Amino acid sequence: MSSLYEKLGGEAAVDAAVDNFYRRVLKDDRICHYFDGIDMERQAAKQKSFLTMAFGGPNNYTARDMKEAHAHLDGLNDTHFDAVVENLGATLKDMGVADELIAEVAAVAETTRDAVLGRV
Amino acid sequence: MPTVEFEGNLIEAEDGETVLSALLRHGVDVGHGCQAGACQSCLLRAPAAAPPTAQKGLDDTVAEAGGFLACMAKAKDVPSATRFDPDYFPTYAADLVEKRALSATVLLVRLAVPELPRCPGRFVQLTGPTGVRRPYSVATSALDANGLVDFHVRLIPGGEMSEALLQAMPGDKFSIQGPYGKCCYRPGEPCAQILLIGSGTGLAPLYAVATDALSQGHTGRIEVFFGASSPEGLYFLDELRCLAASYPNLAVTVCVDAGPLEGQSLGSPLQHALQAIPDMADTTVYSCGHPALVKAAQRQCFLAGASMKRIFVDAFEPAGRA
Ligand SMILES: Cc1cc2nc3c(=O)[nH]c(=O)nc-3n(C[C@H](O)[C@H](O)[C@H](O)COP(=O)(O)OP(=O)(O)OC[C@H]3O[C@@H](n4cnc5c(N)ncnc54)[C@H](O)[C@@H]3O)c2cc1C
Ligand code: HEM
Repeated sequence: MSSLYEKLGGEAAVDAAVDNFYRRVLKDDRICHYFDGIDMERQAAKQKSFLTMAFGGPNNYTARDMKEAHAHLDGLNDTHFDAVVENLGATLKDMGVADELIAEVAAVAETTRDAVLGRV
Repeated sequence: MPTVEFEGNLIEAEDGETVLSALLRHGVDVGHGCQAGACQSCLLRAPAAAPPTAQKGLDDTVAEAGGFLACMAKAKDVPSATRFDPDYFPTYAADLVEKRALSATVLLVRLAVPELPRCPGRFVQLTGPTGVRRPYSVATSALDANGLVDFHVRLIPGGEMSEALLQAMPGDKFSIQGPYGKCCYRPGEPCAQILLIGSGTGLAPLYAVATDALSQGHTGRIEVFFGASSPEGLYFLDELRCLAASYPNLAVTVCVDAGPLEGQSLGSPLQHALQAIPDMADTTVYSCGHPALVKAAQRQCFLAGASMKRIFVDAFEPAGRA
């Protein structure tokens, strides 16, 4: 059995997804203010870390890392989290990824919810 | 067992272990993040032995200086490494050859820097005879046998480097460190559309990128959008006109915020670029000059479809704030 990350196409899939996903986030009024004023190239690199993780790819982030990475985002709540997952799904759809795999990606993202929202 | 010499200590690694893992295991405090080659937090330097597989996605200058991502490098490939310190870039002697007014406020500064690698459009740190040090972008694409390099410097009244340049005489000794940055023409896609958006002396690197592209046989469209707040802030217009006349694939739109003269458009160069090219999916974008313009161009061009990997910018941040 190949992993979710392999089924999605690995690093190449992350590369292919990053522009589409980041563009969606910047255009999404619900969450774009969290990404304002951050250096865009640094941010694009972090988006790749995010996608690699959500695609079930190699990473060593712990729940604590996720909590710390998002701790400075004032007022971050479930609505914002849902918006990110929604954008992620839309990106994967654009790339022609099957619905079952999109659901698997959403499930991976879901495992980080409490950490990202600082509830752990 | 492989070993990595890090800042004078010999770090023993397991077979197949990454440099990062070995360092962390030995309690060496180096920055790290995703440990998957994406976030670039664990950048280190190995001048002679940076493994190319651990350099993916790094800035050209960083890779050239031996930068590599510790999480992507096997310890057996890296006998020694240090932290990445930007001061490692080479310094070159530079003699002032000529200075000449391009307009009432812009000075052409020509230096002989025989050792400098060819780097049209990228920027260097220029140190003057008085010791003042500021970044400037290379305006020339040709580097002849004498290594003549041109810079366009907007004179800031009372500015330290501005004053030093006004005082300077041919023969004066400067030095140059670098080059830095990513604003350079990349051969390989000769038919792609290139969009150059700049204000003020941001024209210098854009002119270098355009002439470099043309001299390397670029056949795709090259669209230049150049602006200033008023017509007095513009310069180099004859040279741009000449270039457009010689190369049918190059077009120039000159913009001002107020009081346009004949042949000039009202508005910002970014606004005109977005109108002319609403879909930038296959466009390579360069933007240099005023920080507000450059940051807006980076964002708007990305939203208009340009790939993040194909947007190259240098914001001319004043010293002390960048
Ligand atoms: C990557 C990069 C590339 C650059 N390339 C070029 C280039 O090719 N050509 C070029 O002319 N400049 C370029 N600059 C800007 C340049 O480095 C200096 O900041 C500029 O020349 C002023 O230096 P100075 O020593 O004369 O003035 P300073 O002594 O640094 O400044 C004097 C005062 O003027 C203010 N000031 C500085 N710049 C401006 C400005 N533009 N408008 C209004 N006030 C200002 C300062 O805040 C300060 O209060 C570049 C900057 C960067 C970061
Ligand atoms: C869906 C689950 C999420 C995961 C798995 C995730 C993952 C990540 C990762 C891996 C990083 C990089 C950390 C680093 O190495 O520095 C990061 C940074 C960031 N995340 Fe998330 N994230 C999630 C949700 C969100 C949400 C909901 C928001 C806000 C709407 C958000 C906003 C940010 C911002 C702004 C940064 C960058 C901070 C900076 O650059 O300093 N994230 N995230």
